[in-house]
Amino acid sequence: MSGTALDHPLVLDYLSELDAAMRGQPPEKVRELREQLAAHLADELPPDADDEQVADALRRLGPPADLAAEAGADVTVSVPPSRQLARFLKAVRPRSWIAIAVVLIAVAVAGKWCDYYLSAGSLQFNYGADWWYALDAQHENVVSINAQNQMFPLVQNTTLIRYGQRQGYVISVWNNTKVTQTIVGDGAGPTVGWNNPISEKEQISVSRSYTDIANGVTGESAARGIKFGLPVSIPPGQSRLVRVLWTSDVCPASNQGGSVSDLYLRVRVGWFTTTETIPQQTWTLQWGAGARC
Amino acid sequence: MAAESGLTELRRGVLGPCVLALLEVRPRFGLELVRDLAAADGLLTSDGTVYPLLNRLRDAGLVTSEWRDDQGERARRYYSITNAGRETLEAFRTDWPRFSATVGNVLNHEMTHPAEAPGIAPLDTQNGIAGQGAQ
Repeated sequence: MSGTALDHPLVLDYLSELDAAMRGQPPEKVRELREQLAAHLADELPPDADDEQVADALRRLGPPADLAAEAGADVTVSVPPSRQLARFLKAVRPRSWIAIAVVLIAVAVAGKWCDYYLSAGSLQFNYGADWWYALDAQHENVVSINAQNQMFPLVQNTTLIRYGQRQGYVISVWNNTKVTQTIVGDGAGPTVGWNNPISEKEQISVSRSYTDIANGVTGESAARGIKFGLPVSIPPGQSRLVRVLWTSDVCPASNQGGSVSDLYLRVRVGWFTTTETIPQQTWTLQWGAGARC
Repeated sequence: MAAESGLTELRRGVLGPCVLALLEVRPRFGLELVRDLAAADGLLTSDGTVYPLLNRLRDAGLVTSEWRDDQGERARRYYSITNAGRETLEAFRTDWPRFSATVGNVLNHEMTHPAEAPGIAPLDTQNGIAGQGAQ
């Protein structure tokens, strides 16, 4: 615009006054009227217009406050809702449409994704289980607690408390879902030492590969050579061993012991980490004859 | 002052159809439109008011605008009438003669109450002022 009448101080003052008078109105409306008036003046005035010519043109345009009031006046022509909607849609810039589309797609995908993972289901007990140490397996007493269920038999496995020593069990868990589930730690169960029958402290770890826990073979023997750790991911359709170890450092009464039958694990699925409760067999510790703390 | 304000309101009411009528002939750019309207004595209060009016007509879907690069000159925004604008203009053309005649009758005390003169001709043909149907 350099070298045109639009650079004249009177024009610049006029447009500044217009801006001030239109304060509060939509920026698009302000910009448009400014552009129209500038084009009008550029058409009307020669580049070398003198003060008198410029002042005359501005006087004929009318006071900025009047134009601002006119621009801010309500639309006197009745506009049907369909046209108002069309006008709104037209006013949205292409870049905004792209942003809106991206956000909507992201929300839809995230929603679908959240639903997919949150409804995936939990890990399952896979019926392979035994005490981890041979000493405990030697004294175990296995009793069926749902003998009528041939397909999913559950047992109560009882062994002796070895006070002050490490004890533990290992079970097989199966990822019977369509998503990878990652065990990240001990779950928040209803009591302290949630996953063991006696101690307030326990250590949970998961095998990085899998082997069957055969009858008559203790966990330690069966899993020899297999590494345990956390976190461990279990792909869909695969199984892993979950080992729970503790030191039997609580001294129950001579005729009492402890039991645990659910396994609580912190499991990450997609973005979500939740506690999964895995029903399993019952592990019981009790005193042997004459034993004491 | 009150008379001036009333005249401004009157201009405001009829300026839109006048703009549509000019654009019906051919598209025009801003200053061209202003000059044509200014040539009709007393129609424009100020040149600048045409632009907010054009924007309102555009928002109502009665006119459109496009930039044209005239040969040898800088680009200008030309305004054109739309089909909706033509319909609105035609409706105004139909209503205006009867409306102006009615206003004229009232101002000149020439209005006759139907009950006082049973069987008189309808408003648009009495006093010799033609309505749309009599043109």
